Amino acid sequence: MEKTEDMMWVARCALLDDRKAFASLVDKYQGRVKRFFLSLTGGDESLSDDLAQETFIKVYYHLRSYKGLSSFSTWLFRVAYNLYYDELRKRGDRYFEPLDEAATIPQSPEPVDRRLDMTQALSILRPEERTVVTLYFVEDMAIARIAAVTGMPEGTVKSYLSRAKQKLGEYLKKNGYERVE
Amino acid sequence: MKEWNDDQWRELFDRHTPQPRRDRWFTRRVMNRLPRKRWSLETKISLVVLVLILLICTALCVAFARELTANPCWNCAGTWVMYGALTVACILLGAQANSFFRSIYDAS
Repeated sequence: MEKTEDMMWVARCALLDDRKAFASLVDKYQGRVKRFFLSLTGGDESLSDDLAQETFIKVYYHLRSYKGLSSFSTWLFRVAYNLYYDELRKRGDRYFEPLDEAATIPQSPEPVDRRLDMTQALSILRPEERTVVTLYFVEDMAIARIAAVTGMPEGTVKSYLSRAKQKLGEYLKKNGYERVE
Repeated sequence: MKEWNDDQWRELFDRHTPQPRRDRWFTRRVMNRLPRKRWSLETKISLVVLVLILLICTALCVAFARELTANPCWNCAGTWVMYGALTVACILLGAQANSFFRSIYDAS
């Protein structure tokens, strides 16, 4: 049902330049796209907002190239992913460099469960690992879909996921976060 | 250390990933950055039909006015036929103008 609704809006945008239909798509996916960028940029709201806007502008201009072979959301995230890597190259990789794995959860009197922010924890991962973890655990995408979004083979996606889980597990353990209740 | 399963990881991310703030102006900002909308085919056809009806109305008005000036006859059937045709043409003009401006509004 959701896919039918998306296809209807996409068709109206592509064929009739229906701005109301495009606004509906933006309304529906803005939260997910911004959340995706928040995870990748270590919680930088301003940058995430800019990248999210750029994503939708790009989608508008390239809507006719969407062939419908995958779901609209898969294609949308592919555009977002490519934009993220363009930004990475533009900034010379320094901005998105993974933090030292010795980085810790900020100290405070609150229990570690309250202080934990997974967006910050993701900062210890490499950009590819961060992307895969975000799409798998936050956006709840299957491996095949992540492979379609990123253009990586499924084996590579699984490998990044496994490495990322290991690194995150060590980071959480080091900071006194042993398990989920 | 016991390995976490994927469901536990998901729950961890659900509980400890801040959600982006709801921004009701985000869509507006995106829409403002789109290029100005070109007229659709429907709007162009609507404009052509509007101009045609306008020309027909004008022609009927001129013909009616000339006829009435030359042969004023309020009891003649011909006068009322012309008057009726003019009324219908004006109604069509009004309807077409409404359709045209509505399509412009919808496009914006």
